[in-house]
Amino acid sequence: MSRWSAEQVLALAPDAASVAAGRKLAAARGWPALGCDERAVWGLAQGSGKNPYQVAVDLAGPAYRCSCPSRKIPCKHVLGLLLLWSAGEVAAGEPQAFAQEWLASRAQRAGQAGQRSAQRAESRADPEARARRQANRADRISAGVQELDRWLRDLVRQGLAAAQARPMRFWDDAAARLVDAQAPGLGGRVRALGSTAHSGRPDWPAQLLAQLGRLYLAVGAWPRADALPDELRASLRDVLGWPLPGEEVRRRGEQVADTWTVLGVRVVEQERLRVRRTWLRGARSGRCALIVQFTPPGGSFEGDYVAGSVLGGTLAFFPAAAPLRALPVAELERRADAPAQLPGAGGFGAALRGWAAALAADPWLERWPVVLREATPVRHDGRWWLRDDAGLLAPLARGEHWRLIALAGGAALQVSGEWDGRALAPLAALGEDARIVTLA
Amino acid sequence: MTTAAWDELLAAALLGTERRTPARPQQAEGALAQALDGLPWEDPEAALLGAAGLLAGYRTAGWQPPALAEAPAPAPRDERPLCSPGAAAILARLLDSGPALLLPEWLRLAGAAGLRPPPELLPALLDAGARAASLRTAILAVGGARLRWLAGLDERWEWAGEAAAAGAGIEERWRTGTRDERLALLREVRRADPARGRELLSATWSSDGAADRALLVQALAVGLDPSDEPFLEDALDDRSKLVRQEAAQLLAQLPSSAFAARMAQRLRPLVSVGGRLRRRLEVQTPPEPDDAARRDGVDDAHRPQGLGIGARAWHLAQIVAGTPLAFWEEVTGADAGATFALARDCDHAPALTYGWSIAARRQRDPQWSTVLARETQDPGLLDPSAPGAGDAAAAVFATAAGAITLSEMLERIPGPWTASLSRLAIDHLARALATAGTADLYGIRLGHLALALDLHARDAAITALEPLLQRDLQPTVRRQLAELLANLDLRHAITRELTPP
Repeated sequence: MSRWSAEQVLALAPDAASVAAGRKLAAARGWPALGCDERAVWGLAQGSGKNPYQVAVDLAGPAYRCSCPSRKIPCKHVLGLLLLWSAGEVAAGEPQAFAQEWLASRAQRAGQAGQRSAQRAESRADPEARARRQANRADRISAGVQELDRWLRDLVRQGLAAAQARPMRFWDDAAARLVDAQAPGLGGRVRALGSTAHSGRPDWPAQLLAQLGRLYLAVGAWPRADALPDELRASLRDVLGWPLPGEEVRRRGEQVADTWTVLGVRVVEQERLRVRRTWLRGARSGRCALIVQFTPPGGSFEGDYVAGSVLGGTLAFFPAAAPLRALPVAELERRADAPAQLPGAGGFGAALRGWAAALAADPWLERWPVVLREATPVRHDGRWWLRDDAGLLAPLARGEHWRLIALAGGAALQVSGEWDGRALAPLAALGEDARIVTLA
Repeated sequence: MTTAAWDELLAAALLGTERRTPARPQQAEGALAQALDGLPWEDPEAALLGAAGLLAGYRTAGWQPPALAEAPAPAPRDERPLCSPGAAAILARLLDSGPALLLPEWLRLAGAAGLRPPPELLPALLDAGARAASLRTAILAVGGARLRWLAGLDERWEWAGEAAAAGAGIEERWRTGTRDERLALLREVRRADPARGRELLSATWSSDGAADRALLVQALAVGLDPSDEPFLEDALDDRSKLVRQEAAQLLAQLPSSAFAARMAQRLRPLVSVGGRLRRRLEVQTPPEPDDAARRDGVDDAHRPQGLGIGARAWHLAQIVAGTPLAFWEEVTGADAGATFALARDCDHAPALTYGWSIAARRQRDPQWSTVLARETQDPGLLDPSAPGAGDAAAAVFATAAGAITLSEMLERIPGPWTASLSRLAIDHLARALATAGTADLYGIRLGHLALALDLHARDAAITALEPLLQRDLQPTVRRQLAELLANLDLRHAITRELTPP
């Protein structure tokens, strides 16, 4: 396996403190033993105790093992080890006994897990049991949606101004009931309503009303779901938080083999989970794809996706009216580093037309990938925008954009970002010297 | 077209349908109108929510961005080559969470190599300058035109604008600044143009208060040379005693000055070499200071206690301190070391040593400094910037081992140390750690030691210190030792990435 870049390694870190600690450990000092082969990297890390910690990484997973007491995954020792390896400071060799043992036990477990999942697949394949489970869940969701309908009607009867005065618990309780009804997607949207009501932004009423309207579209559509076209029904199920299981998507979803460039990556905290959104674009197909992954705090994401990486392989798309969300059918394979540019760059007008078309197909679409060809950060009317080559202004999302502004230096550059219908949140930009700079 | 409909919907939503029934939008056309007509308007809640969903999607999809005809003016170009990706990664780390104490080294080496940092790191550099004024000059130099352009865009980076404008309006800042600002400004001007600095000082001399004069005149120590003598000679007649003292101290740093000649004249009748078999220095105390001597600062105040220096001997010490050190070679015909030996049995040896120590420091005489540092075991007498000071310090450190601790060494001789001094310090540290005699290391920040050590001594440091990490050290000491080694590695990496091959 080719060595990873330091950026790829750090993308695995569970938090900023781990990044700092890992970097500190990434000096050949304090490692009494180090080694690597095609499959793994291992080493002994001198900690504060007398006995060094045993650290090993299975590069295929990647999977980590460290004998230190930290509960972070990966811990700083693993990050330090990988950084050393990525800097070429780890020589090839035979695995040490502890690493050998662990790798062997992993291989064995992988075999067992394969058997188990085969058994599970068999039990799922039992069409009767499956249909029963599906029907049960559909019933519970229907009950939850009915209750949400009543709740929404109460809300607008009493007015948004009254709703704004409610504590956050008011929204959280309603959200929790939807999670109980096995419609966690709706629960998330209800919680988002509460965040808007409490945002303190001057335009909160308009935004809240728009969110309510979109949510009500789902509420109204669910009882008629069987009459909807397949793709739209799939989108609706995604809104409810009942998407197809990953294995089914890999089996039945539309498959696209291509060379994919990572347009950008964003990690957000959401309901005690870390969510990573990776946006990709295929070179031949021109298709955009979104890989969404979840991990508990302190966990790490599978696959090393960094803006500008080029990855080869097949993605399976979740069925949807405007298909974006996808899964790698098998692990994507790293191709060349740093493409000369971000693919699919264009003007803001064209990007908005793409967004409008996608929204017409899927009214619940939340984000759309945008790559602007010649974008210049400008301050205008008291805020920052990206001005495209036709002079159109894309409002930049709230927050600081100084890295982008400094990188551009008042000149035009390629920028990728997420458009949510209101503002563009930059993900990455192509700076001078053809460097792709991460902004998210 | 939809704005009015949306606003009407929003008004009803805010108040609630029980107070205000939403009106059916009239202006819509086409598919939207059909969809709106399909809503159950007899059921106000469902109609409002349904219309909100339709209009929200319609408005989002149909939103037209504003346009701006004029592109902004780009920042000035920076033609310097970009630093290496490795150097950029290190800088990002130093600015983010890494050891900030290595930032000055990065800036210095990048500046020397004429490299620029990646532009996306300029905001963090400006923030670093906002926090630490001591870094500003270096940050401005390395950041270049792009950094100054960026600083103009946000208020919190005002410092860069001010510092960049330092060339302009010096007079204005000199007249209106606070006392500390004026002192800093005067030092800055003196560094570049000593005569201009003296002119600034003279221009306001008669109107400045005594406390201001006493403080500001100290800035003449920067770039001091014989052309400053007339000004200082005048200052010996100042109304303020503090000013007179400062002036006398500065004049004593000029061995060619009339002040120094007067001191030598006072000393000559007091000193002779006696003894036939064993030559020795014979020294008498001076008579009660006359007005001229008092004008030159010889007085009774500030006599050090506990050194065996009496009132008369204190006058002697002050005269010795103001006399050029070359005087002694004339009298004894011997160099610094031999002269010191001649004075060993002299009654007034403490006063002589005291006076010489001050003179050596003021006159930055490397020979005398070395001799005195060794004899008094005070490496603080050494001027680290003087040629050969590092080796002299090493000699002092070697002979005084045990008497001087590493932390004292670090405190008194700021880095960079010479290779030989660095090796001595490493040996010293290794010995202290190996014998578990960590008392010497108490309170010393080993991570900072990495800044003083010469990088050529890195291999020696690794060989001597790394095995000690395996020992049963106190956790704090182990952590600091690891930090020391890590910082050395990082400095090594900075040098490797920023030094042209």
